[in-house]
Amino acid sequence: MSTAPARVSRRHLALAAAALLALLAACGASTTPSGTTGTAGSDSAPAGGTVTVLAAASLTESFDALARDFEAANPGVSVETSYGSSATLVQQVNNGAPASVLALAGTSAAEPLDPSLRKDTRTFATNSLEIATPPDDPGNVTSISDLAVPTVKVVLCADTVPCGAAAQATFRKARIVPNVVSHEVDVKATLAKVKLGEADAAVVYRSDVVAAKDAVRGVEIPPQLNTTLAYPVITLTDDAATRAFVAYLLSPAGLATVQSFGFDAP
Amino acid sequence: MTSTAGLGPGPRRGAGPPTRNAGRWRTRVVLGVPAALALLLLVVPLVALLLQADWARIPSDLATPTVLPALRLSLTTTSITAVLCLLLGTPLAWFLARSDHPATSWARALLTVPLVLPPVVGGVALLMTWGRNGLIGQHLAPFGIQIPFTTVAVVLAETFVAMPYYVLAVEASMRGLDPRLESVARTLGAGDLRYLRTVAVPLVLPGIASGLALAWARALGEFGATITFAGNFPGRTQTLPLLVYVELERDPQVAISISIMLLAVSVLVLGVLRGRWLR
Amino acid sequence: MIDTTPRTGGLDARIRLTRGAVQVDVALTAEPGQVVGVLGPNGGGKTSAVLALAGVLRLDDGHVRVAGEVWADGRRHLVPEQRGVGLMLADSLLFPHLRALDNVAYGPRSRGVDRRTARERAGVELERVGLGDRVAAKPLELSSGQQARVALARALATDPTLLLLDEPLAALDPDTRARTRTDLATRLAAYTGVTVLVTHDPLDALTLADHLVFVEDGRVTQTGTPSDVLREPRSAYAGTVVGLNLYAAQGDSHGHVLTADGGLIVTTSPTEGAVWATVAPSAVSLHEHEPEGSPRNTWRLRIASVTMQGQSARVGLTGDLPLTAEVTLESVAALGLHVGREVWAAVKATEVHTYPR
Repeated sequence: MSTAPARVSRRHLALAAAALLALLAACGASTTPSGTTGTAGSDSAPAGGTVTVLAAASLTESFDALARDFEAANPGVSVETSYGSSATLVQQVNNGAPASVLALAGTSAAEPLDPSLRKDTRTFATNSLEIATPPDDPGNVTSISDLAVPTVKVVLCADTVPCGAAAQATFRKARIVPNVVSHEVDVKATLAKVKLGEADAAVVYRSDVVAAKDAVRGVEIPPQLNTTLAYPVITLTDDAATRAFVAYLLSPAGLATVQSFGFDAP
Repeated sequence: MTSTAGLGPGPRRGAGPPTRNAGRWRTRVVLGVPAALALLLLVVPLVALLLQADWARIPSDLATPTVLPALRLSLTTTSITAVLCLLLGTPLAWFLARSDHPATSWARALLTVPLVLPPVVGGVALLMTWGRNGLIGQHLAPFGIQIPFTTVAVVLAETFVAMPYYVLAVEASMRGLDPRLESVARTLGAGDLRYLRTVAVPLVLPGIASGLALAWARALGEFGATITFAGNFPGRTQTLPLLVYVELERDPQVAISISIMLLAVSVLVLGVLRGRWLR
Repeated sequence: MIDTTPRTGGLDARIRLTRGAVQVDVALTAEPGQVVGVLGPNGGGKTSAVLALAGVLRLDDGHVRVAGEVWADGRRHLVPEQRGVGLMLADSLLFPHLRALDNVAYGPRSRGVDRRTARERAGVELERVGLGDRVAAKPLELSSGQQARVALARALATDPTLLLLDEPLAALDPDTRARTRTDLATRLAAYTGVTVLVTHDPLDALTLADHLVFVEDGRVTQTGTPSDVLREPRSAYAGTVVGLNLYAAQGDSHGHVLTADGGLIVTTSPTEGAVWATVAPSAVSLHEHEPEGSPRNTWRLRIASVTMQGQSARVGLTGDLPLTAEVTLESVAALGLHVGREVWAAVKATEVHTYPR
């Protein structure tokens, strides 16, 4: 019953607590942006700062490229990007997630956004839907009507996600009831099921089919049945770095970059 | 036989010299403060959830057509998972408990992999196994057996994440059995299986019950592996956690209402278990 | 083929095995109805021998034959379930979730007897150990002595041909032990198989056993009836068990006995050559001054310990000859016997008993 063991364990406890606190501080430091500098006023090339971009999943590849190009042209500025389903991103911003820019799939996705947070809204691209199948096309899909065949496994985005709603609209126009086996939480998860070979067909964005290159095979949806979505970019903070980034996105160079990934002009 | 209380009578409550009382208070503070923090850490979010809920809406929220199928599916799949844990996990725990072979520590380590694996990765692993092009799945496909996107996949995902909890809990319980009991039973004429059935299992029943409760609760809350492996389809693979996630994107209040129902269901089941079996 | 097994129903065993650091080589034989007491210091191999008889441990070599049946030899090894053996240990190891009746019925049930018959048999066995009124009690509700008796009843309910008791009373407090020993004696008297009783309590050995076997360091150091051993212990341990002062010595024809440590004892029953010499503690008298007269053995020794044994005291002495004396409490007081004091110890030559080693 000596006190020696008790002393040792208390020391261990203190060490563990210190380590935990240090870990938490480090995590906190890495996830919270260093804060957009309040260098208001000057419209010329910003000296530094961080732009936090929350973008829809379908913009993953295009915005990664945009961010790289922008950082190269503006040393001192860093662009942090995070992707997810548009609905989730809007909710996060409403709940106070620190973000400079919000880029969503479809204007209806922007509706739940707290109006007081919107500084500016522009459309920078449009996207339409396309069918994606595994390269070997196990379901023998050649047109949208094949999606109604009972043996063809179709995955869609969930209705709450812009691409899901758009797909439902397209199927209504085509008067087809597809053989859906799963509603995925975002368009990338939907595409993943096709890439893994688990689903025979998925309805995703054309940009996703382009970005996936040889991993999937695309089947076009005729324009009269297709649904087009306009992609808005919403500025949330008023600082030089953010304004410069949005300006770059909307510049001919920026628009061309986005379109090279399969999007259409706004 | 050594007596259990080797310390003699403890200090009487209330009475005693001041130093002893101070010691007891010091213990209470040194241990009590972290304990209280721990409790708060776990309970406050629960309270926050309950406070944030719009209680008036709950009945109508729960009337959403997707809720009942999800509830039914969750209860069905977790029940099947519990039965699988019982039938498959108990023998495994038995072997692990009786063996001192170095290989068992490896087996036990492997068993904990589903515990540390991020559930989504677990789902991917399950796809790699049972999917159309999976290790086993590719041999099932010619027979028309497809597992992803089915309720079977939900059960597999839940069992994958829940069974390790069960096995480890039951093994620990079995190791607590006096091995001489088995020698005695054998001299009385009982072989391995009879001993297991008539002595070992009845004596570790509390361990089995709490292991089962733990596994069931884990299965009920399972999300990542389910959505990756089984997909998300109402009535077939959309369990309550998946429904909550989808609803969160549409109407957070509905998600909260469903979560509160999920809470109520688990508290009810675990409460009943605790009353009868876990005591 | 001629049946060379000893009388039907008996035990004939030669146990050779290695357990940890101990190499056990023990021969045990007994007639049906006999109780063999196996004594020895801890770690000496007694329990290993018992476990080998039970079939829990395998033999490296040797054999176990009971009632004409071979339970183990070079080729066979019957597992415990296949042997007709009953086992009772120091811890009663009753199944805690079963009532006394079902504990005792466990054996018959495991051997295929139907529940009703098994329970009836269990009831009979519990009667025979005096617990007919406690059949419905759970082990937790029974006292330690009662638990021991239930364990015995359970071991006997299967009608074993060999009953193994490994320190059955060790876990009981002295009063309970005395009472349970009596119950045990009564029950064993009615048992027709062979009983092997392992103990290091001399009382158990002397009152319950017909025949004693001393096992030290894996080997048998002495066998004999309790009275044989009482008279002529043949190992230091045996000497301790029977409570005699025992010396390994060399004797000559004139009655001089020289112990291994160089002490000299004179005896009137000379034995030549290598001998054991015993002196009963009660034959040692203690004096303040060197006694004159009849005792031809006197030594000046120092007191190393004084312990009470009921109404008398045991005085441990060191010096030329290590000796334990038993004296009255009055003598302790009168002589002022305390540790460190020097006294004269005297033993009459007639009280020294020698026999060949």
